[in-house]
Amino acid sequence: MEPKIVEKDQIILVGFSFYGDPFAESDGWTEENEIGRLWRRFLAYWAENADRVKHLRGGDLSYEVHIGGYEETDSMGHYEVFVGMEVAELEDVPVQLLVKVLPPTRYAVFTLRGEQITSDWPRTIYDEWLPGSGYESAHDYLIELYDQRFKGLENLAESELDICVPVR
Amino acid sequence: MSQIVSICRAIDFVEDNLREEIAVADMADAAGYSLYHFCRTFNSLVHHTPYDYLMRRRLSESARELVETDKRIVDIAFDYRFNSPETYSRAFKRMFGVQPSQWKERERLDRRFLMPRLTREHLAHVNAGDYLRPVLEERDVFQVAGLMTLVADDGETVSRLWEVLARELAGVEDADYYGITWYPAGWEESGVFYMAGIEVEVVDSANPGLVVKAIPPLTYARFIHRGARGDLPLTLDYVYQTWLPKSGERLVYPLEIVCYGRELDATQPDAEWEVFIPIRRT
Repeated sequence: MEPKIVEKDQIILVGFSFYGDPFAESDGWTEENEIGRLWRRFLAYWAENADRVKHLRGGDLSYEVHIGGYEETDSMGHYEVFVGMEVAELEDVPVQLLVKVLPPTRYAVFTLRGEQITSDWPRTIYDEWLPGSGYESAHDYLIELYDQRFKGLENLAESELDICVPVR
Repeated sequence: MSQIVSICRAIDFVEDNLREEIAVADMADAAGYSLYHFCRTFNSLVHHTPYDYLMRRRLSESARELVETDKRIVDIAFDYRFNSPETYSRAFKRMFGVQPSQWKERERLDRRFLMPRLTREHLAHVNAGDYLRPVLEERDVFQVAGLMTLVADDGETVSRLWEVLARELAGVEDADYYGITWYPAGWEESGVFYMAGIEVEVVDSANPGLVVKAIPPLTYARFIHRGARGDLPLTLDYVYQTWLPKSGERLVYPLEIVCYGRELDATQPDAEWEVFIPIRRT
């Protein structure tokens, strides 16, 4: 897996958030977990209210951001998952939406295909690629970028997903 | 299967470090996974979060020490890496429903409620299918005729009881076989009451050498045990240690009922037995 290195300006997102161990309630026999629930909650809201959000950009691109670096991230496996859409600026944001501002940074962008999407790619990226890359992790988050190339978990073989890892 | 092997490495790591300051990230390292992938895989195979499993193992070992040693509660709390006796008491009460001091006074252990060290066999058993997902079932009163005794060994008494019962019941057909266990207080020392029997409609049709027991109307969580008789403890560990705390239900009687169906053949490797755990009085 070789990444593209790209510079990105600050990214402003509006969306919904979960904090904790997102798999705590799933009993292993269902796909049900907090990330899936978060997406359903967000998409249901978005279907009704997208036109209330001004300065949308990014078209059909949607963001899933995993944010660690909390005191409990390492000790308990708790982290934040934020899902949302990009806006160019903030104006009259509906109160239901949270705002997340990602700093301007350089990203290593990996394209995952098919089975790679459900593999342990964070390990491949952080433990195998990063140490020999000449880069280091710049921030405690990463972005999963979903667009029309992602056809759903049931069509994994035809799907692609971009992972953006902040580096310096 | 290789996932189970990796998760077992994390479980072994927990066992080696129960009294050390370890984090879920260290468990992930032991498994060779990223934290994200580890949490996801661990939950899906073990049905506990890694942190929940770690805490339950620590609390279970501490509970054993409370009863089996003369150590002070505060020392045990710090030994198992709780920040204060208060944090320890709260966590202890959440898992066992009583304070550590109350548990110590009992001077007994009910190992059904201790989280065992999970093994590869546990994980393989739990992940062999979704038959361990229970169904809630209301049952009216029913009667079982058979033989009952106090069992304090590892199964020899139970096997003998079934042999004797088979002779007593020679000629009986079309009846469901039941194994009923009652855990009296202090059963770890005294043993459990075990009844081997068949369901009967009419009491006076039963052999007068048999005892008859009426099981009151109850709502049960009914699980399917699939596997050999010897694997039944794996199913029961799952029921008491994983399903029960997650479900928010509680046992209304220390009673465990296994229905073997019409044919009792404990040597079949793919037997399917029903396990009933009473969770509500009706």
